[in-house]
Amino acid sequence: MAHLSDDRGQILLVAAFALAVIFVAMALIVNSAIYTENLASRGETAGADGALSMRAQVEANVGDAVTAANRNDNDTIGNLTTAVNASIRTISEQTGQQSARSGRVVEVSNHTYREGRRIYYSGGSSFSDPGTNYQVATGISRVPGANGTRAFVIEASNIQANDNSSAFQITAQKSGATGNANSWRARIWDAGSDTVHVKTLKHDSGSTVVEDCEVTKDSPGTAVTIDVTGGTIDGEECDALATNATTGENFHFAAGTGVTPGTGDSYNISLDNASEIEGAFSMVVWDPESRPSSLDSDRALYDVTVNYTYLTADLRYNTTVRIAPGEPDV
Amino acid sequence: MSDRRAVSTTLSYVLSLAIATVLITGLILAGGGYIDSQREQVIRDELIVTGQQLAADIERVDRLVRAGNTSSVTVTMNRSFSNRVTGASYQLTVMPGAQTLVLNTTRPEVIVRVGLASETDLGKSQVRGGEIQIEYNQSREHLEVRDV
Repeated sequence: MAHLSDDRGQILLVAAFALAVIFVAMALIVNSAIYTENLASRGETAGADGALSMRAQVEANVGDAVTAANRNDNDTIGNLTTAVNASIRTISEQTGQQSARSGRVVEVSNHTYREGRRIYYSGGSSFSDPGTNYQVATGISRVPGANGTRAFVIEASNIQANDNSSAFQITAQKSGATGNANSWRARIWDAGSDTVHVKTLKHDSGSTVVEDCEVTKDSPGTAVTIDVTGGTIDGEECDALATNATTGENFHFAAGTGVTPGTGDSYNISLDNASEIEGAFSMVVWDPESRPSSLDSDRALYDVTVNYTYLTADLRYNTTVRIAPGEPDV
Repeated sequence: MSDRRAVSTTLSYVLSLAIATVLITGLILAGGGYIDSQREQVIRDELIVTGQQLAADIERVDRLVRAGNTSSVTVTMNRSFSNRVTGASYQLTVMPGAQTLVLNTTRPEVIVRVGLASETDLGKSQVRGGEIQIEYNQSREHLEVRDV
């Protein structure tokens, strides 16, 4: 009998061993499942979001540097580029130091420029000093993939026009076009009760498309800031200077002029009923051929292209960034 | 009496041995089958999660490329995943036409497809699971993955 009980024990032993193997396999599978859950809950690890936010920060900083240089160092193009170069070096050093603390390398370097012209009127009275209807700039070519006019801002102290027929009008029209062909026109008037009305007429390929917007001023009174290229009035979005919210139709500055970038095509900017508005305005245009002598203008940088590098342990990102503050996306 | 007793003892021994063997074999077979099906399920889950992580990374690189100037942009992103999923090695294939990632293991055979949305073109490329690099190929103007 003692001999028999030894044999019985062997079967149990084999069974126990087989079950043990099954349990170990199960433990491994559960381990993999746990790892999977862990992997699923991980977010961004390489730092791509940081690369984009840092890029936006660099763009804003260099944009401010360009704006400041255009205002203060505009005697010669050499002064402008020296001032911007110095700012870019400082930006590169500071962002580089900041990022090094969190194990990233950020560098901004190797800049190229496009020379333009800042045209402004700061008389404080009506815009009609050079005449009631006049051209502000002619022969503006479009920058590849973008506009040729940026940072067109009107700081109006008073708008006398109070209806469509007497409205102050900004026109951007293709050079050589007749009538209203290939034109973008924005009419601006005071609609009463502290609101400003903008009506944009876009005459593209034979038909006119109209968009209206009415915005209440930030504070009661006559003063209002109209960012024509930015598409805002006192900081509030205006569809007639931007994009129609429902159809997506583009009404940004100079849309519909049909000027193709990289060709000999160009457009002109003119003002009509300039006596109906008072205050100041300023814009930067790319290389205009001429301008009315009665308007002030300075040398300016239209845009700056910098080389942006962002490195982390897992990500290498290097690109050129073109910076033209206040340029509409058309 | 003693003869029958001896027969009874042998018979009952054989019977109990047979029953025990059948029971244990059944237990092991059932357990093995259960383990196999669970393993396949876990491999499927892990491939889906790995695929989704890689798809998200490809979309991130796509965003970086679009934010940059396509003629001068350089982007490379490294990701490390496990070399094996529940003991099985696996492959990742980028299918450009359908904008799909296909992940598969051979033993057991599991195939998983994960969709992705990239505005930059994708290049057909295949890698083994593990350390993976996503790169923008400037001369071909597309995104591709490769082993590192």
